[in-house]
Amino acid sequence: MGDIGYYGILLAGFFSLYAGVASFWGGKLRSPELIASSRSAAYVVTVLTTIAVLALEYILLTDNFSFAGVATTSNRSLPFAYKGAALWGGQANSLLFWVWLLTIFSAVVHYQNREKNRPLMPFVTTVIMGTALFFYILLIFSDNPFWILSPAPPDGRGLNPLLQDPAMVIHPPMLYLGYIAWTIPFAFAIAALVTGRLGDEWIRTTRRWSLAAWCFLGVGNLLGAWWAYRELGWGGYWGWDPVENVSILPWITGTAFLHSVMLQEKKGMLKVWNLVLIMMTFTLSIFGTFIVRSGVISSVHAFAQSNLGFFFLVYLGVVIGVSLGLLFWRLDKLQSANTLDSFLSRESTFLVNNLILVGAAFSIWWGTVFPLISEAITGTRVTVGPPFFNRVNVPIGISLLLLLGVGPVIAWRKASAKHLKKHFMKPILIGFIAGMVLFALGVRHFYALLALSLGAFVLTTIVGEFYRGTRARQRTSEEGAAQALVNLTRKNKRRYGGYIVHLGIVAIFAGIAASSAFQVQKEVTLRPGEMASLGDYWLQYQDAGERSEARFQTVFTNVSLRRNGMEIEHMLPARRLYRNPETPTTEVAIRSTLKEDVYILLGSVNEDGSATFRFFLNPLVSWIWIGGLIFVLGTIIIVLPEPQRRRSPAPRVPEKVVR
Amino acid sequence: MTVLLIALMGLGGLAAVLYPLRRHYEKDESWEFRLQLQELVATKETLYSTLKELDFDRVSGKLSEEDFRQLEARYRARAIEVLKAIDALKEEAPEDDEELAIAIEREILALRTKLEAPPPPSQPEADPEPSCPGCGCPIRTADNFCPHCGADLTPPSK
Repeated sequence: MGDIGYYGILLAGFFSLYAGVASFWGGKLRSPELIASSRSAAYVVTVLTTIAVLALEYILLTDNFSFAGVATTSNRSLPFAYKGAALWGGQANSLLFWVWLLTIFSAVVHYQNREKNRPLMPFVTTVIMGTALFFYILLIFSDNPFWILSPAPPDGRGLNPLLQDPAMVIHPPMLYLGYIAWTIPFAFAIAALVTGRLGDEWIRTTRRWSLAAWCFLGVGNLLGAWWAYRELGWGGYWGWDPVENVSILPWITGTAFLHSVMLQEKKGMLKVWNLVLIMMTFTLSIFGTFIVRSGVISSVHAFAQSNLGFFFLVYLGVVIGVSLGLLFWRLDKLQSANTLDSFLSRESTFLVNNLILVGAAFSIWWGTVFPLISEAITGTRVTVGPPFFNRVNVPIGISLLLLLGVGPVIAWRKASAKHLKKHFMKPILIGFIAGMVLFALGVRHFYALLALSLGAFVLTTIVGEFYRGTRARQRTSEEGAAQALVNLTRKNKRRYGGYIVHLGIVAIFAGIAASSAFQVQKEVTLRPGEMASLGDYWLQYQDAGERSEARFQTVFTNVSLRRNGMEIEHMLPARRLYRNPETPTTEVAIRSTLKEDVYILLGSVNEDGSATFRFFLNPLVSWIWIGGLIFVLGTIIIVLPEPQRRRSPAPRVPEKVVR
Repeated sequence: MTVLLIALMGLGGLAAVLYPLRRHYEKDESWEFRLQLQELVATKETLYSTLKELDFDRVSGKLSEEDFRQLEARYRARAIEVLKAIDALKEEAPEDDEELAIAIEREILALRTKLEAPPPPSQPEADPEPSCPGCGCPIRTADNFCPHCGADLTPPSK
């Protein structure tokens, strides 16, 4: 089975090379035969890679430790679900998984466009197959899950216990789906540059792909934060770790892209900027994979330990060089068709939003690579930690929050000052009152006060938008309020779905602001029966116990969570010692409510029977996860197909076969 | 068995790739025109949705009547340009492609109907502070006569 997988990868690499070259020449020579042949080759690549993935799954589930991809990521005692999920564990397996998802996307794109976008498609095929070929080269020359170990080890190294968590099973595929889906809009952008068809055709065609990529990346990041919160046991969910930073970067530039393409679609503006943004987003997706896979995070010197980093660096150079070269070549054809109708317009808020987002992305990128650069040049590693990222990004986040409230109220093209005043008065007043109430309640943290007041302001503007839209619809139709609200959203899913996404972002911001500013934590050592206070709560340590299971040994404690003299929850913070590989982990006990999370971490159970705990009170953390769900709901609304619109179907451009 | 399967994978792939090379595709004279029509239809759709949004912004009180009229005229002018471009395509397209001719006619008819439709009526109720057309003083929507100059405010009967 391993041989089939190995040759599947080799053959897929060969056919991807053929598909890339044949489609390029087919496009240049306008040869339908070559183009059709390269399209078939792209489908063949998908089939061969799927065969390789099935082969890898088979050897993973049957514990065949003679293969590198199994021995390094799994072991006999690993539960069945985690064995299956080892497909995206470890380096070699995840490279195969990455390219497999890309080939699936490739098949979908080729099928979707079998009768559309004929001038662009050959070059789209070239870019997608070129990207796939890069991964096949990595798999063939750098790291392959089907390489045979001799002698075969009796058992595998297993999966890091910290990663044995349901969130970790779905988090990497979500991130990968996001990273990889950006390849599609990027491929269309490059095809637009090559063919000189620089209208908004490429943007319209890939709108759903961009939204899907963006949503998957957003969800992937949130799942990562959720996993860190529950598994890593430091009371937080985001530590500005390089791995986290590189996964948020394409999401930020992608957010800028999704906003600025609207200006090109509506006004024919920002053509160069949109191309630059999609190039940045795709390059950052590859950069993210490079940073995580090349080992440079731990040290620049780890880079030299395998040739993977070198391949990545060359590929990144090629992508950036070719993209910029094409962009400069076509610069004269990329003039804007229009200018802003008015400074007081939604267009101008989009421009500001873009500047802020790209500024945020640059600061995070710089903070992430600076330690690597300093180590490479001076030999000493400078640490850039959360204080830097927070100092730069908190004001940026606050400005974005402000724009979230201002943008929707301003009309496209031209807003009148009178109407602005009318629509802003209530939200400003409510934001101000919210600030005053919070101040009266004792909130003195400047940024938290500002963020929460702005949250109230944004919430009011968005609710106001839905209210005004519903009222306007009721005036022109005979619908009831509920029906008008539903139809309003249905008829303009992009606008109102977008507002729902904004609501989700407000919830996430509120959760981040409150939990960062008002987190209460204390470390205490308690004897059995003793209590410690935490905010309104009392925590009573009752006793400790031990439990032995096949994979790990658990030391647990019984803690009674009390409020007003009553027990409201029995909690079990614990520590585990995994046997293979031997790793200690903390099992955090969390009681989550909409208001706050009580978060208990067991430090140690001491010889005299006492136990050392760290207690955290994290306000509004649940709103981060709820905000994530709202964000997904909003995106789903945006990408839903149009309801039976009476539009004439676009004329098809099928190929005609004579014989 | 494994060798056989691997050979099948390679040869199957090769067959799928070589087969299209042996087919002969008809030279399609009109595909450039179809592409142009596709692009024009897409531009038309964008203009439609822009006009719809403008109207909605006006009804929901975000855009003043004056600004609306000005912007609406601008985007209608662009729609007329698209109509002209589709018309020009009709002249240039190969005559024997019936499917293309029908598609062009359909688009021209749809655009003409849209452009000849009367512009939406102005909406005085969208203005939060209605004023007397005679003296410009603020009035209430329920007033039949202006309390300041006495002008008749009842709408003319149809």
